[in-house]
Amino acid sequence: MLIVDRRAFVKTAAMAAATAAAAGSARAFSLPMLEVQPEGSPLRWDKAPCRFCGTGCHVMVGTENGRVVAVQGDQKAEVNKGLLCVKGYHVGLALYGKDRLTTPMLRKDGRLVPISWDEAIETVAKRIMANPSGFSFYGSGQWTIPEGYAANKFVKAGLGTNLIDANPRLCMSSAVTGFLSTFGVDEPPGVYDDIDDCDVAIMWGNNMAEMHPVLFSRLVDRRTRGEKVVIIDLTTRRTRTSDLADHVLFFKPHGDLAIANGIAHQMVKSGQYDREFVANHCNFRKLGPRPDEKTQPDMLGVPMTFEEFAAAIEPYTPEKVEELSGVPADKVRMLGDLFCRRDLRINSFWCMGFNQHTRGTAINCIVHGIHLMSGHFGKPGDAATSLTGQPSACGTAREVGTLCHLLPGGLTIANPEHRRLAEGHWNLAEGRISGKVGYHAVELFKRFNTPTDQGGDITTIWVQVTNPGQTLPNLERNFLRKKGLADKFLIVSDVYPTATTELADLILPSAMWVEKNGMYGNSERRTQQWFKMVQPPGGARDDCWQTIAVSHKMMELGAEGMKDKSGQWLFHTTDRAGKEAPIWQWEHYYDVNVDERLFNEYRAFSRHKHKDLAPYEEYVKARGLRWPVVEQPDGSWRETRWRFSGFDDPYVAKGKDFQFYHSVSKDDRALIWFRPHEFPPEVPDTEYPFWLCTGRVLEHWHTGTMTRRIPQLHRAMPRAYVEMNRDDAARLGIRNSEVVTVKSRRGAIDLPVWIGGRGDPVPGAVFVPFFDETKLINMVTLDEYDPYSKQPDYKKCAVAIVRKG
Amino acid sequence: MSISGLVVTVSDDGAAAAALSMLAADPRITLGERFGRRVAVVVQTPSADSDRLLWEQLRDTPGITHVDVTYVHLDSDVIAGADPNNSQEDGPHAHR
Repeated sequence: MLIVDRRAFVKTAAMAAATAAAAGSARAFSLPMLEVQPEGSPLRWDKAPCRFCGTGCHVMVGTENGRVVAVQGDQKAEVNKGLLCVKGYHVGLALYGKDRLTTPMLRKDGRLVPISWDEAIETVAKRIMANPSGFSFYGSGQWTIPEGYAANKFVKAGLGTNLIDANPRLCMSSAVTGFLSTFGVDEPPGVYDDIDDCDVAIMWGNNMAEMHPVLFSRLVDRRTRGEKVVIIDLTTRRTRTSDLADHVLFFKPHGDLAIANGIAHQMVKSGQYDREFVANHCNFRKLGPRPDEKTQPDMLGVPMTFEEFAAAIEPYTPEKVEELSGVPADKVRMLGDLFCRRDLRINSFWCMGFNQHTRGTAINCIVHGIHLMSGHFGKPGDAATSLTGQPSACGTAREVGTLCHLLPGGLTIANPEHRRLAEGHWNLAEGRISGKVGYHAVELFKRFNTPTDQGGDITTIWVQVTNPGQTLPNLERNFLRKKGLADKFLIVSDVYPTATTELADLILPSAMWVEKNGMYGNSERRTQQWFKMVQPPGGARDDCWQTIAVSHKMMELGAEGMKDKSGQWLFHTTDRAGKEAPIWQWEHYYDVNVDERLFNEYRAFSRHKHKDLAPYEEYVKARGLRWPVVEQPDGSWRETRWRFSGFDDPYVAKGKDFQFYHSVSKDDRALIWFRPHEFPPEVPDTEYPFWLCTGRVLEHWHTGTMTRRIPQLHRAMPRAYVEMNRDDAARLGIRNSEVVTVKSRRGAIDLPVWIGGRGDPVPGAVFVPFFDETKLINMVTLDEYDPYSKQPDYKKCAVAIVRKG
Repeated sequence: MSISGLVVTVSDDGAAAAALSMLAADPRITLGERFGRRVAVVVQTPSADSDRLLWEQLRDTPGITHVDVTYVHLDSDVIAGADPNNSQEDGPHAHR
């Protein structure tokens, strides 16, 4: 094809896509489904979810001659209706950084040297077999569902330990404990459809405009159609979300606990809570007494009466909330008044602001509670919406159970009956699955970074699809001490060199995104599927294959745990003729669809907690399906939007409006919790007078290992910075772009100052993004965590800003 | 050469007309159909960098409230037959 023809074709396709997206008319996001590919397109187009955040946008990926050459928003995807953000726009380029890892490398005499895959797999197998109880997997919310499932089975069935955790521990685990405490099951009850129907959107420490931009477009798009949507931004710094908000309310760190309690207080005082909903569907809870100084009360608490709840909430008057949070009393009243109104539909949104919080479980519970009390729950537009940070934090880590206390399908290690169920699914001898919970992420890396003879019982960690060398809090304590510990061994599967591979003893080059088959699960319970479209570069191979190959090698070397009780390999797979497929051999890995085989095994777990998944082939046809997906009498499969609501959830008993059928109190009721305001563990003082908050930026995905290799994104946001309030900078004589030292009790880094930049912190606060591997802000952060979710707080610690020279 | 499809949302005041005039006058921009406050736009620039800069410029233009991306041709170098790897970046941890 002539270049000019090709260019004309591309322009036509671009205009068709833009026109289709612009033409939506009836209501928000009800855009027409147009075929945007002109006849005779030279590209092959296939669907895939975007590789980056938890929104779960679908893209159409155009390939030609074995390369990804074009991406467009998928018009058929309900999530994004053809729109993409700037990261999604460039997602295809993430494959083509020129320093892709393509050969396994083993550290020998201090240097990484290329080795064969055979040697790499055998090295891992022998290392694990030498000390299985000293080995842990550390995975990711970017693991595909089959990858996470394989790793989970490898550890919990194959090794008989629970030494596996994943980076959603740093990202979503407080949302999980919030759901479990409130509903008895880890389950976002609402869906994105609520964005289209709410009258009021409350952003609780959530910069949706930058972190989930397509969802924010979905919200503000309604205004362009003349609909009234009030946006309230509760925040500690002015952001792009603030720019489009009707009310911007700045609060002090941990002030969110006071504000939410203040809303509950007003509902109780005025008597305008939803009495019928509360009477029929809710119980009240509080934490019980502490057994002793070192032990936290049980997460599921003890019952309390409404009167006891009212007395507990009594101190949270608007004036007291103003004192604790900094939000003016009249604005606290405004929030309370909104929740008291039945004629409005209210949608609360949160993400890391709530979850990366030493009282993360508490704030998740309180906000679920004010939605339950007010009856702003379980109807289109009335929802408490927890957004995930990663593309499969919900689908893989939480649902597949790749955390140290979980089994697939919402089953738990602590429950003996759940362990028996898992042993049944995996055909294991009774008692094979250990009842001992493994180590959560921070504890795991602490132990790995502690000398073995001083209690550091974790000697080998295998990291897949994540970068703890940049993301763990207090990096010096939790990651870098490994350097001097000769008996520790770090295995890293990744696509690019990272801060983690810097300390790796063995590097395994991985395939990424559309270089492999995959499945993700997004924030709204939507399971998504895609097929491999291009070959990975050089010797890079699928993470899932790596796990399977090590398992088989261990079996060959005599590890009996890699067999089930019938003596069959845990990952035994047959082809269509019933003959064993040698999927442990890379050249045969794609002879069968391993994803399909693993997913269909996994979906059997999904029934126990009513998280039913459809057969794999249903996801091939769809742009994702939201669980529970239930087979209908005609053989079709129906997804579910609103959980626990009688009008939509197939598991609510006929005739009931609502039914919380996994209720903690075993009576089909949800729990409204009283959790008090508490101050953060570290607060500014004269030596460290500023609050530090860390976070993400629009252009970069988490640690930037992919997006910093995309020139357009890298040049748009090339380096980290410290945002300062203008008045603070003036007081300290600091000029814009001047390099200062950001220093805490744990470490220090130098950063240029950005005043009046993209974000604007309140006086006394600074913000630093964590995407820049040359400026590791986690040298500075605090590793205190929520006692229930074990999720660290990256949003608040005390720092000093020191001028250089 | 870089080509992308955008949806530009304009404000509901007088600034919208000025913004649309500016877009119409820009040789890099092809205006498509307008649907209320949403306008389909195709942007053609010499490089992906300039594409990105123009996108930023649009977002900061008075009268434009929002810019969404709907289509991007990722690798325009392929059109000219060049190796797209040449335009990519190294990170600081290259293990060579």
